[in-house]
Amino acid sequence: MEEQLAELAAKVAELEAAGGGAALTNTMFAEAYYYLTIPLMIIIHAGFLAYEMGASRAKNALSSGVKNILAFAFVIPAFYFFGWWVYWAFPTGFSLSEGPNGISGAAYAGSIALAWGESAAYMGPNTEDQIDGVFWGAFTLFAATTASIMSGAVIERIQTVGFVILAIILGGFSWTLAAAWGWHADGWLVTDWGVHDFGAAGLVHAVAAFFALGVLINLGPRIGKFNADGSANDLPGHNMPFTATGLMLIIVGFWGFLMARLVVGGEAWSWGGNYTTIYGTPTNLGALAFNILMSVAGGIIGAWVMTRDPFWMMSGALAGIISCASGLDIYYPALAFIIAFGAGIILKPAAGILEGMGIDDAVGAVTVHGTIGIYGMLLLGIFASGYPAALGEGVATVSFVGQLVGSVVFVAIGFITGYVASLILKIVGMLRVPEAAEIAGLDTVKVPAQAYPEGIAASAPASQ
Amino acid sequence: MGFPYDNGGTWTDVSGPIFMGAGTAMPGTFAVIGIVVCIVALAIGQRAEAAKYAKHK
Repeated sequence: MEEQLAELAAKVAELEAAGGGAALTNTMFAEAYYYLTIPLMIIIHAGFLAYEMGASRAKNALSSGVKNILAFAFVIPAFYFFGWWVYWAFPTGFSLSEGPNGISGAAYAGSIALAWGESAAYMGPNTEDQIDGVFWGAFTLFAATTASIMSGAVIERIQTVGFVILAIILGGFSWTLAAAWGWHADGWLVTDWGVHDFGAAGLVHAVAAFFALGVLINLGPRIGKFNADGSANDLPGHNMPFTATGLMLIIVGFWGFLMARLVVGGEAWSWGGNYTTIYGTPTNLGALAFNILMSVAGGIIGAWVMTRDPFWMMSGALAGIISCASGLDIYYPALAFIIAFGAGIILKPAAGILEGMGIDDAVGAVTVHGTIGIYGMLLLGIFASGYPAALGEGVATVSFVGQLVGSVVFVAIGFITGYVASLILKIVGMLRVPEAAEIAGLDTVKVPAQAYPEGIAASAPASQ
Repeated sequence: MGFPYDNGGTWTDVSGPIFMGAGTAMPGTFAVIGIVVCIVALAIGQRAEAAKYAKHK
């Protein structure tokens, strides 16, 4: 009997040890999962770098690139020093009070997201915390992406430091406020209005795009863009293959961007034992695989039908993803394809309308990310009406009105902060480069390097 | 600063923050310095940029 009891105790100890090992493996998997989204999202920035340098005229190619590099570099510490705190502090609104899940408000944010005091323990290497660093890293890359979205619209005439300040405001505050309200489980747009924006069509793309629109109004068009009668001229970039490749890199990086929106299961901070969305609602990587691929295809085909232009076709791919981003977790793939096809169709005409209003958006960022982001938000309100917006009983459900309210709020956050910040920079002379510098070319004026020291001459083929 | 655990200088049984200055005022000090570095870098950049534009007025 004693032997049997001893055997039983040994067996129990063995099972407990195995269980502990499985738990540790799950924790390490979760950590690795988010860690790997970070380099994937850096590919987005490689893409934006190539895209915007290619979309610039040769005389501005490097200065456009410098702008992208600096936005990336400055948004990271900005998000470390205050952006992460904003996300956790503001979900319930400007009251900074705690929400229903108890993971928001100034007190909570101050305990986990500040780089000083007690919360510093969660903002650096910690053997007991394998998740905050990688969560922070993923969110930091979301923030940097918003700055890159704005970046393309303003190329070839914005001052570098003025742009960096705008990038810090957008990446550290504007989009973060939108994410706190529309993404966080305690966010008032989620709890009160049932806003569902899984892939951030509104709270990343539209916020960044309408921030850019606010900036563009104060910045003005490039010299030569518009004629005296208001008609627009095309100012083509110097390297379309570079631009198209950059767009493809952005799409590659978007797999990491969207993957990071899932919450891995089985951890103390998870919503349960399996993958969920950031709202706690069920989904998995299979949903993303189906819907991202179908939406990329729909967007490309729609833009091809409309334009036959590789720039708009690749922009159509991006627009396809953005148009379905809010519901990538729940769309039926064929429906995602149709919605994305529609996005590809309306893309260039929508850009034309903006241009007709005298707005010089050099890469169509306001249209691709803003118009299409709102298009996606609203369509989800129609097709997903009645879906519970969060985990639990009695939660708000998705509705067209809720998605409309969310869209208006996201547009307002982006536009107002972008307009006001750029207006202040304009008043103090830090927004636009002088006319003579713009005409001479910004690389010549301020970049101590040459993009093409030997020119871009086509080489002759080797003799046989 | 130095090793943040007063346990005779071993990793055995160490659990929690392991960064330099953990549990002291140093993280806050480094954060303030980091913020100042960002602001000064922008100020220097702005001055240099304005000087370049002054030659192209």
